Amino acid sequence: MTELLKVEGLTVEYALNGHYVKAVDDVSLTVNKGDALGIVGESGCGKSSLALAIMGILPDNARIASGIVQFEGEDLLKMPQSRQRRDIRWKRISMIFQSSMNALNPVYRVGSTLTSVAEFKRKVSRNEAAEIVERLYRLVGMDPSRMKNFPHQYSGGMRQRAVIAMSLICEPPLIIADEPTTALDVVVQNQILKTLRKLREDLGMAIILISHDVGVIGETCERVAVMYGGKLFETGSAKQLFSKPNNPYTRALLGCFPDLENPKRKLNGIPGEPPDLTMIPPGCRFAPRCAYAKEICRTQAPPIYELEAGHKSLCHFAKELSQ
Amino acid sequence: MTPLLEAQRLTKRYSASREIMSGESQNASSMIMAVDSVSFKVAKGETLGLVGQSGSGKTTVGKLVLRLEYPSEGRILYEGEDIHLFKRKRLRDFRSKVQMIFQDPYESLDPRLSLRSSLEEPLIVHGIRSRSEKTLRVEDVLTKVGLTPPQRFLKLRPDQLSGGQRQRAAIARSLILQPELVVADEPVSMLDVSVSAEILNLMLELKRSMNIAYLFITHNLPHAAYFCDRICVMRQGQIVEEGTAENVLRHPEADYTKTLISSIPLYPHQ
Repeated sequence: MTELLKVEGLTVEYALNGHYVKAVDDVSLTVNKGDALGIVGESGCGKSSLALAIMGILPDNARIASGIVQFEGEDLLKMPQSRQRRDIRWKRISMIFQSSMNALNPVYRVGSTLTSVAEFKRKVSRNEAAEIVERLYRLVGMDPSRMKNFPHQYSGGMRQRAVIAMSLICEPPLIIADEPTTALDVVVQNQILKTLRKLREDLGMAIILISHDVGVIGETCERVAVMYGGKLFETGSAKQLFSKPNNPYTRALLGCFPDLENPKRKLNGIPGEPPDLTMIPPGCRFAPRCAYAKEICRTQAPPIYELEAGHKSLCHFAKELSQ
Repeated sequence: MTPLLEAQRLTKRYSASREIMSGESQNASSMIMAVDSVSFKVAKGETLGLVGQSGSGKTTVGKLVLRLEYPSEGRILYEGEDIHLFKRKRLRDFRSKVQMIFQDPYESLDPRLSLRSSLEEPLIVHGIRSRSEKTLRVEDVLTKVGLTPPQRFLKLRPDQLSGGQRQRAAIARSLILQPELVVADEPVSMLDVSVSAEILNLMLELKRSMNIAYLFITHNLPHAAYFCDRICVMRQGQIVEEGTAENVLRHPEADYTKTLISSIPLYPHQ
């Protein structure tokens, strides 16, 4: 399999009151051509910062402290912004943002926004661009006649489809979707996830899907990374990770979702709150909430333990847990 | 036995101006049926879930039950009496017995008030002025919702709390008058998954210890099935299915309920 994206030792920091706070801490992952990688985690775990860092669109108060982001063999972090804008974003990597309402300009007709992108990025005439957009509208399951409407005349699901269509304009080999269905209800969410799956099959693009919902990730992705407090806690194939979760956080997270077969099974939740990144505890950052935590967890940072090929867990007791 | 709450053929119509209607429905009637002849009962200490997609009318039902909106038709009976006939003392009593928890605790708590002030306000409104009693009840309710030790939280403002703590504070405010019925409209949908399970468990525990009945409004069917005794599935203002939580989830009858259930994303082995 061809390697498309390789992130190694990536650390992203935000300036906060004169200090730097690590939002993404030494994260490494790879995405092969056509892969679907899910990144699952709760708010503040750094999953969106990771996406923004890969896209090279971190806000001004953020910096990449270390690491490499290699895409199709080139280090994006060393590439000038002008080239990233011209050659990478939209064309090679595009992004679907969570808040589709804010991703579309309210004073332009949706079709016009998309057509402009197509015209500019694909260097085609306005008419050809409009044809491309019409085709994409059909691809994501919308009637092209809706191109003439403004964003506020769309429902939430339609706006999300429009934003997905926009991300497909250059048929990039990689799409990053950050919580693409979070604001939508289950029925619409299901339609959007189906659309994404179908697009992957038809166009063979790779996708990084970011979500807090393990179900959304589980239905869409073959590989999964669980993120907590800026670190990857567990990575593996969806099968490995969901059938043999080997990290206490992954286990606890799965325990927060109701079981449809047995809806009254007690939900465990996780006591406490996700870590405050300005006050990362020494040792393991999940230790204060972890049911398995021992003394060593509070003093020493846990190692990455490889259970089997491709299945890694960040925990002092990963080996014991696997037995 | 008289149910605690009973909705009888509850209907709420809103007039809609042309501008806000989407293209296709411009010729439709200019009234929107938000709630269409909905009937249900909630017994004392029981939990009823109202489940539906956005726009199904579930929130409007909640507002009608709280007497924040007047129904276009139908009645709401509280302990057998029509809540819209309540006046003065009976209305005040109703207001203390029926409380609410909203989705966004940041918006439902006054950002300028300390938790102590936020929690004392309902007590003062309902005539409890003794300083020692107020303190006692505030500390008691903070302990009940797990904000312990209470002294640590009394002076804090909402922005000094985490999301989960804020929702606990909002729950505390809804409980301080020892209500019989709590209308909880999406109480956990803004919270992190790990925190939302904790909040649901807390609400269940309070239901048992204080014998509270809940009207639990959510779009999340698995949460409703976990939390509720019975569930009503709503669609376009109507109840399309009603049953015990277990039955609705495992043996749904209405096609719409089946669609809802099949749309729930599942990870392998779930």
